[in-house]
Amino acid sequence: MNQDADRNWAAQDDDALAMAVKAGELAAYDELIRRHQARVYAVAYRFAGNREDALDIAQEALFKAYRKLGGWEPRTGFVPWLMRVTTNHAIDHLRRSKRRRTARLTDEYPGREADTLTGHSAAQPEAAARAGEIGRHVHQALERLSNAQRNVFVLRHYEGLQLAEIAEVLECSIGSVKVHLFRAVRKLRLELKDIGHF
Amino acid sequence: MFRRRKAEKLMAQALYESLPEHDAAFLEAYFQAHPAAREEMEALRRFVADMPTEKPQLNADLIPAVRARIEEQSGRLEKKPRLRPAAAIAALVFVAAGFFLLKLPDAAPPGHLADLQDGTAAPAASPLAAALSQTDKLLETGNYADAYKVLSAALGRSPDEPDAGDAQMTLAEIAFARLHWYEQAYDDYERLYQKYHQTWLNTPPHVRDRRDLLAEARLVQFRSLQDLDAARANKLDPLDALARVIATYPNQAYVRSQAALEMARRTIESGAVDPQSSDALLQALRHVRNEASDPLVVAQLSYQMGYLYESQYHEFDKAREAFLQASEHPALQQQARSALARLDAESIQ
Repeated sequence: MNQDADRNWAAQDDDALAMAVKAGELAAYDELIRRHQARVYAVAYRFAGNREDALDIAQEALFKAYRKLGGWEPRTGFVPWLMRVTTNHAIDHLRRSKRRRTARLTDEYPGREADTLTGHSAAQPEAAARAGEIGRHVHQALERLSNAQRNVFVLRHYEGLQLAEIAEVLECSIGSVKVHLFRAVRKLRLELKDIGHF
Repeated sequence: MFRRRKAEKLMAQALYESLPEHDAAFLEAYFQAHPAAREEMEALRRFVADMPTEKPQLNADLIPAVRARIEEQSGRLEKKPRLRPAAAIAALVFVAAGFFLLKLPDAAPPGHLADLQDGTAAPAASPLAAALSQTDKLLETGNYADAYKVLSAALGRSPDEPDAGDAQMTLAEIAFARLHWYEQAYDDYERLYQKYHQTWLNTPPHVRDRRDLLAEARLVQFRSLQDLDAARANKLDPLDALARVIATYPNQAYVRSQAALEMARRTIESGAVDPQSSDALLQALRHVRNEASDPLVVAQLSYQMGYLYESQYHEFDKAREAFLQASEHPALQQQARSALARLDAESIQ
């Protein structure tokens, strides 16, 4: 891949890049990842609740999207389609939950070497720990929602998708999105109220 | 019934988007007839407004890892080795340099999309997957030794299954974090690195740190880690025990750092520092340093303070001062000078 090619890909819109990938241009997929990896990771994080699993999910979702691009058509926007691949993969991943082992072992070890020399994850001050505690409660509450409720809430509240876009991502009606969103918010409020947050 | 269902849909929409006029009028009429629904709407609005919305930050570039997956899959289809020798050497060099994700050379042939469609290369369910599930259950009940035994035996029988890398990493993590079988953990992380390199490349940073820690501790037959465990378990005077670990192992940088941080944590737990304070850890390090008498312990605590000032608070002058204090001890000199050089480089940028 040379710099001229990079510049060309950067000037293309998502759909054009996706079509180029379908035609065998792997470099075009690099550009799509560059544009959307943060968003894919953010969605993955909302489902996984920890960095390690979220990285796994995001990487695998982007790989799956590449494999499935042959079946993608431009009439469906690339981003909603990518969000659908990501949420579906996140749900599958958590069902298998193989990686939870590692996360659990990591979280429970009393000392983490990463705190110290390498700078990957320096020890957090207490204020950050409190924020982390709220984050954990929110994640636990999210886990108690149905898949549909969680999908809708994550895409609306955290990703800022419009209800019509969510309907496109999840391939359901807008009315159904609204019903799931209402139930999700109502349930989350009750869950978090019970443990003293919000 | 239908009016309530419609009202709830509109309430959900109104939480995030403005309603068309006729829908807003419907909802207002509904609220007038059902005051409790209005109260709930207001409560939900407050809840949504208070819910955190900040996005988790991605601190890595996923392109190399996804590329590697695509090329790996392509290689399987073409019956080629996973990594060509040149790529493997590049991987070793990059990992040794501390990169989180490997950037494979662009010359590696990409997979053709048509060859990678779903169903063409999906692995069959593996016997190792069953062992991993069993391991999960054993870990949940605290049977760590049994979990290790079951998984180790299964991996021995199926070393080349698709889940083998994941199984190897799990073994290493159990041995290190749960069983404290450090020699075994060292061997397991090495095997993960050598034999399951693709999995290794996708491991989180703490796994690579653990391999480095164990490699260092191996130089003293893992006694430094065992002493650290004993100091952590010391009920009478853990701070003194942890300080002795630092003083005993001047050449064990990872263990020294762990001991210093543990001293600070114990100080927070003792109530000497307000745990709600935003710089509790920093205060605790300072508190312990003021109490310490051994010059190496003082220097190590200074180093930890410098690191926190640099990485957490971005107070580079204070970081420099702390690193300078740390550099006065011969055991910390090189490490502290590297940190000072890093600060200099950052200030130039």
